[in-house]
Amino acid sequence: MNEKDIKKIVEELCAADRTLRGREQELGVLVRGLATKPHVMRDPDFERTLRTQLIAQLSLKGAENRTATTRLSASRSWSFVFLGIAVIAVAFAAWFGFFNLHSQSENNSVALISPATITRVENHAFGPISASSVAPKVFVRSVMNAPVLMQPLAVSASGGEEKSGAAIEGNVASDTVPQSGEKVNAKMQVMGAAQTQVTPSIAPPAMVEYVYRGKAFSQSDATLDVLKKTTSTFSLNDVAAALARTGFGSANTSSFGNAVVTNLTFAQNEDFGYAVTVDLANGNISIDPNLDRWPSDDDAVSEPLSSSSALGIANRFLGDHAIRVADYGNPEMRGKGVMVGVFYPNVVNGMEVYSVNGERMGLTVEVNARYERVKSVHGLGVQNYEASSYDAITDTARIVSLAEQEAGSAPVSAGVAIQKIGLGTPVRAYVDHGNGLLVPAFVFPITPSDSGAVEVVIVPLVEN
Amino acid sequence: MQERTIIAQVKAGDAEGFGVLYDAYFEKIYNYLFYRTHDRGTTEDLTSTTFFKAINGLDGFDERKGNFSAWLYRIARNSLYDHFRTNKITSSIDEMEEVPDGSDVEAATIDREFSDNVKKLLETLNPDQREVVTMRIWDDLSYKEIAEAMGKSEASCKVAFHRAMAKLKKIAPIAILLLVLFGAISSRS
Repeated sequence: MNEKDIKKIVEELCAADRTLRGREQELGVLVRGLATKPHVMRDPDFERTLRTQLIAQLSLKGAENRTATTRLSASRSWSFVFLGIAVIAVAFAAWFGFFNLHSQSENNSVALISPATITRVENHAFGPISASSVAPKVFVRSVMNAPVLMQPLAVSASGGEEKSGAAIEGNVASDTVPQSGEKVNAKMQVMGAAQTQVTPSIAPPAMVEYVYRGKAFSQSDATLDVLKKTTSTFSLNDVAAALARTGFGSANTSSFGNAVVTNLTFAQNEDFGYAVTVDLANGNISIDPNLDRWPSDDDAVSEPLSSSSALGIANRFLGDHAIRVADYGNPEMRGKGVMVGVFYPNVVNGMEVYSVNGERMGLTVEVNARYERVKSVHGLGVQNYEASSYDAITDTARIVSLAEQEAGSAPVSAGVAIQKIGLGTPVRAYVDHGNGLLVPAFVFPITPSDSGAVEVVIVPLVEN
Repeated sequence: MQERTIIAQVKAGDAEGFGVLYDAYFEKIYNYLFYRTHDRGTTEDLTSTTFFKAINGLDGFDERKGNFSAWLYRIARNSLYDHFRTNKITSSIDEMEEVPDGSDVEAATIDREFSDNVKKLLETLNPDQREVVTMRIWDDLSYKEIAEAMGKSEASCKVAFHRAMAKLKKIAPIAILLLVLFGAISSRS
């Protein structure tokens, strides 16, 4: 502050309070004394680096037509392995603000994934839903870890995951074996998993009849919103421009035609470091151990972790990396032993999200018991959606009928044992039908929940 | 080029234009944060946070509701308060410690002695008065900018400043101030 500024402040004071006239010199000394500011320490490299990062961020933001809402904090101490695509990742590592390694950065309100946003678009904006085969159908889920009452029915889903369960109590005639197989097959096709293969059971299950046993419910909304996740990729030219600004020089990216960056991976080059894969096309991020820097004996037998310890480790990890969990529900523990999973169910518009296979979707944090560290994080996704209104089913009798019939509509042969399974009062949810489409649905729980065969029956509520 | 024009260009997608704004405000924002945190690492983090929040929120900035400078200071102030809350620091004055980086140790030491005296004076003010005084004198902000940054009226900021100065004038013996002032000046020379 120079003398002119000091004089100006004194004048202001005197103008506001005339009794101060004649005491300008004293006031000047006071202001001059107060103007003694702390000695500022500044790093010119930081100033330059931040400038570059900001402009790169704005370039990327402009490139994706201002749909990106991710935030970033500059970090001064990155230690990444740059291999191949990791060269590109350096610009995006800043953009995503993931590895905020500075210990004092945790207060920065930086989120790896921005708060959920839902933008309304015109009605039926996502085209005929029937084309996506989401017309009222029922998605059933094979029970995992269900009590095996007779013989397990092994189902090999398209993802290769072995699922067991789905055994029904009862005595069944031998000629019902093929029918039982057909029956299960029919149900799996309803699930929409064309690649699903059913291994014939050793002993055939009984036929199942679903009966609604819940309370009366209503669905009075004539229209409901279908949500579609909005994601963006970046043109190679945009990336090259960003890289040029970060000191990587320029490249003739035009020779690659209409190339876009759809995913990238970067790795943390330190003990217990992580490899982060960003799927820009689908708006997902997964965090896995950088196996080059993780001990290979992490699956050795160790003392089991208590639920509270695992939850504490998971929460601390998410907090340390500013991973926003506000859009997820209360965490649940899954599994025991060396690896303990902490599952945070995804919640959109206050409703949980189910996959077409009837599994709840969400964020899973895997905690390694031996080293008491988070080993992986999966299911972390961008929560930006467009909402478009579609005609909805309001006839609850029809909804119940769909749930009962579609869940068990195969013909029953004479002499086949029939087991009645109750459907409980449904709750509203979304079913993720792929391609980022979330369709409003009713989820009917099975009552009792350990009755086998299926765990939930899901009825999408959108008409064609 | 006028600031308003530059902001419009940046909003329209001119990323390089933001560099002009950055160059104009980096030092001010950095200093504002350093004066109140007295830690280079924390200041760098908060400066980063401030500018990244600014570019993410620029589309929502409306110059009819206030100028860019005040808007930026408001973001910095909010970031600073988030930092205080998270670290359970009740006042930036409490954290008034600094470590010279070796390049100008003597000057820094004198500044620290000086700052200690200023600190004692500022501690006598209530938080609002202290903030108005430091923003007016340290950051050289106008009352209008202070008001916008603090979310208060311009008149209330003026009143707070006048009352603060009246209070300081009573409790700060001029002789001591003069002694400190001239002592520091003679040491520097």
